[in-house]
Amino acid sequence: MNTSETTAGHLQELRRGTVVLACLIRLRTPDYGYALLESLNSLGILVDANTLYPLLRRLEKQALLTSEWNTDEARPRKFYRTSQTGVELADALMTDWRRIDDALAGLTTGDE
Amino acid sequence: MTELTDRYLFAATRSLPAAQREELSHDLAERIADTIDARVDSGASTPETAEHDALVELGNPAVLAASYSDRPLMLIGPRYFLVWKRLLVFLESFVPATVAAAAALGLVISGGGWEVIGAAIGIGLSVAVHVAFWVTLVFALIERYDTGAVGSTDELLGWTPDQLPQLPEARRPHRRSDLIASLVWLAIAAAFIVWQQFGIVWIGGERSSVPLLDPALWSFWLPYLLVLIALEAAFAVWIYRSDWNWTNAIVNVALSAAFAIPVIWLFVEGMLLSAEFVAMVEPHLDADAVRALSVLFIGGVAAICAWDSIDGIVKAARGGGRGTLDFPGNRSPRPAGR
Repeated sequence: MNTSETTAGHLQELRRGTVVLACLIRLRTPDYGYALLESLNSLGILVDANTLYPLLRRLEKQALLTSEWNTDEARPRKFYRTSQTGVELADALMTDWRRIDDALAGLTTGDE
Repeated sequence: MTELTDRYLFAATRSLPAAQREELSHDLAERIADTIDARVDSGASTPETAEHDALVELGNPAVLAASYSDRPLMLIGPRYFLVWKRLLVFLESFVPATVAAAAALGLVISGGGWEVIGAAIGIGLSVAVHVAFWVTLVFALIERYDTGAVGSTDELLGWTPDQLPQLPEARRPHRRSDLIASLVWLAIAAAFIVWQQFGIVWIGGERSSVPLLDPALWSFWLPYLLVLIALEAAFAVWIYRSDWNWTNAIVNVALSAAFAIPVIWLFVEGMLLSAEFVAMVEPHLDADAVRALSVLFIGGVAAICAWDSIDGIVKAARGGGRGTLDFPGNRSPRPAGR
């Protein structure tokens, strides 16, 4: 494994949990898979379709998201929405994210 | 939606239970259609090639379906791997050899010759393959259908700190009991050689003075065996004081051979048992029984000596200490008085 592969692997690991958090926050407004993919990527939260679609199903299975088929438009689409449990989890994750960020900031300044 | 997409949906969902098939099919159809639209909108594909390109982007349908349904893409996962490996090593360490030996013994008793060796090897191999296959199959099924009520690998293996291996200087917990067992057996063997001289056959409740072994052997072979027993005893003490290593293992093999070869040779030549003993026993046995008992005797002597030799070699290969062919991860006895 060369350096860039190692870097990519670690970056992927670091981002994995943030995608869950981003989905839970973003889907407080219901949306369907492809629109979510687009909006996350345009916000700079880089996620692959092969990661996002299975993730949505998994979060739904864990009752963190609910889903509903919308048949108003030409094509039926599955709209996901963050459930109450999902909102609570997002709060907990966000708190932890901030705590880690502070801690890392403390580490970095401590070095100087 | 065209035929190509339908074929993709069929390929991706056919391995799923019927209940999930339709739902995943809808999900994937939405994703494929959105991907096609996006490719056309962004100009990445022409409307003609967009469907094909979108399916390429989604990748192999079986891999995709696995990622959607959380099914493991492995035969036995990390949770069960160590348990599977331990059980497999344990079973393979003795089941095929035992079955092959038993089969060989049976074939020889029923009149087989040298071809029995090949047959026994074949039986041993097929037993080994069967054991590996069925054990692995059971674990693969557990991996797939276990609902996760069982805890971590540690819980499955039932590990506790008491099972940690002994450190090199203290890792021979069995050596005292090994020594005592060896000396007791050798004493019994020596006593038997002397005692049998005064008769072992009971007739009508009364001991008749018919020796088991040919008294002519006292001129050389029985003293030889007694000396060998003394050497074995000295060797057992030596092992107790030092430890197993390659030299000791080779000495052990030599001692075993020095016992087995003359005994089997004497038996085959008909010089081992006394004529009176044979005369007393023979009327009660037919030819088949004589053959069976002979095979069992020779096989038994050879097996005991082979086992003893292998035992020493295995202990030497492990760098000494510990019981032989232990179940991996077995409990080492707790040090007393702690």
